[in-house]
Amino acid sequence: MTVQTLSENVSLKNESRRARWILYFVYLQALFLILTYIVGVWLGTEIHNATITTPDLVVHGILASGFALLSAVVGFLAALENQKRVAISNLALFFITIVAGATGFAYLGNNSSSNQILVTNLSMMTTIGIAMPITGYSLAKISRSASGLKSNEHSSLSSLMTYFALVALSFTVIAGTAVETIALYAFAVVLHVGLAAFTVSLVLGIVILSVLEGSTLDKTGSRSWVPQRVIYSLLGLAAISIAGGDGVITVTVGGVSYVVVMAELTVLIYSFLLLSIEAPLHLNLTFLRRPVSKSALKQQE
Amino acid sequence: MEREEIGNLGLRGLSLTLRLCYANFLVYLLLYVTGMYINIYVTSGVNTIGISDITNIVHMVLAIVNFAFTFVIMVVGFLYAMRKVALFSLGAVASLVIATVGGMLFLSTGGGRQSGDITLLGGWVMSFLFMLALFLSYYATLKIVRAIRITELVKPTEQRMT
Repeated sequence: MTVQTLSENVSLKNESRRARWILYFVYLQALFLILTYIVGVWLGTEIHNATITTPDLVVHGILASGFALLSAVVGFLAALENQKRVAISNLALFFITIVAGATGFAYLGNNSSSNQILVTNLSMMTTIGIAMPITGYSLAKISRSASGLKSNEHSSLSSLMTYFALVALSFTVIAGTAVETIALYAFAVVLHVGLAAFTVSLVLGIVILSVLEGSTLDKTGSRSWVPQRVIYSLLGLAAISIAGGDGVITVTVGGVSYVVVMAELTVLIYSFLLLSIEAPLHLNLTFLRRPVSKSALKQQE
Repeated sequence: MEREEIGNLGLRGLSLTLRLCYANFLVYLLLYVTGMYINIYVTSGVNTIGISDITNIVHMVLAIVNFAFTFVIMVVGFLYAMRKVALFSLGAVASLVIATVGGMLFLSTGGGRQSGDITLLGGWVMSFLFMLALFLSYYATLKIVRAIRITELVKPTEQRMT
């Protein structure tokens, strides 16, 4: 082994170690996003006339600050590791989060104005909506470089479908927020239901594509099947179906507590979609894979 | 040169981090200007400041950006083996956290100079720890500048050897 290959191996190992650190930060960022969203929805629906000293508001503020902070950390570390797109998207997310936070400060001084409530709700939910696909994308890109794969290699079809599902989910969330505004009610309800149905179809597509991945062979002749991806996407499908049912109850029976349940189900869908992108907790399932016969290889060629 | 820390960030990464430090100093400056504006023009007499006042919002947004930038520099220090950068920035981060608590105390107990002793205490904590954070960030930046200088000095020697 030459000195050059030795140094290349060391630098690859270092890169992979640093990428794993960024990956942990992305997981933490997603966790903070989930908690900020849940506490924010709880605040918006259950607590009226919140002030600077309201404990739930302080918790929401700390969680949102943590999320903004982690976006900045992921963005800058990605810039240091030459992951341009991840860096730009996360740094943009950081500044968008701060602007949304500023509308929150304005709301605290004027919490009876319906216009201020609309601006605050929409800006914060739009930030959540933008953050969902960005965290998914960051997770996919960084996990590839942590496992030593080149970032310019093509993503699998199910990963692409998961990005689309995350984007559709984020639009569903934003349209759902607009439902609270009387002037936008009818339009927002139709858009929210339509986008939710579109998200269901995309999650179903992920399940199908994840199963179909098992029927193709990669260059080495082994099947590129990730069973965990099928399980996570199925769980996502189950969560979105329950959220749909909850939505029907909200429209027919009413009551804001159902909205909180819907928000909690939304973060479950988001979490399962994120997990299906990266598909962690890999179990050693090689014993399930049948050895590929030569005739099967020939047939595929 | 023996005791100098250059870390394993590389020249490009070090320059990028230095630019972030400069941006952080600009934020420190703006934070100081808005803080002074609130102190001298808004709360100088009997006036109080509320959370939704525009100068206060700008001041708080700048405080968040300042905290985020300092925190990022600290993480870079820890991850890329620059112990002194990490520790100085950690000190700055801790100072900014306590300063923020002071600021919240100032706002929630009246938000004016004549609002009482606790309000004034909040203001003093905020001002003193802001200066401490600035001082610690300055030292962290100095360490990055030194690392860049050493890397630049070592690089031509390495190239000659190859």
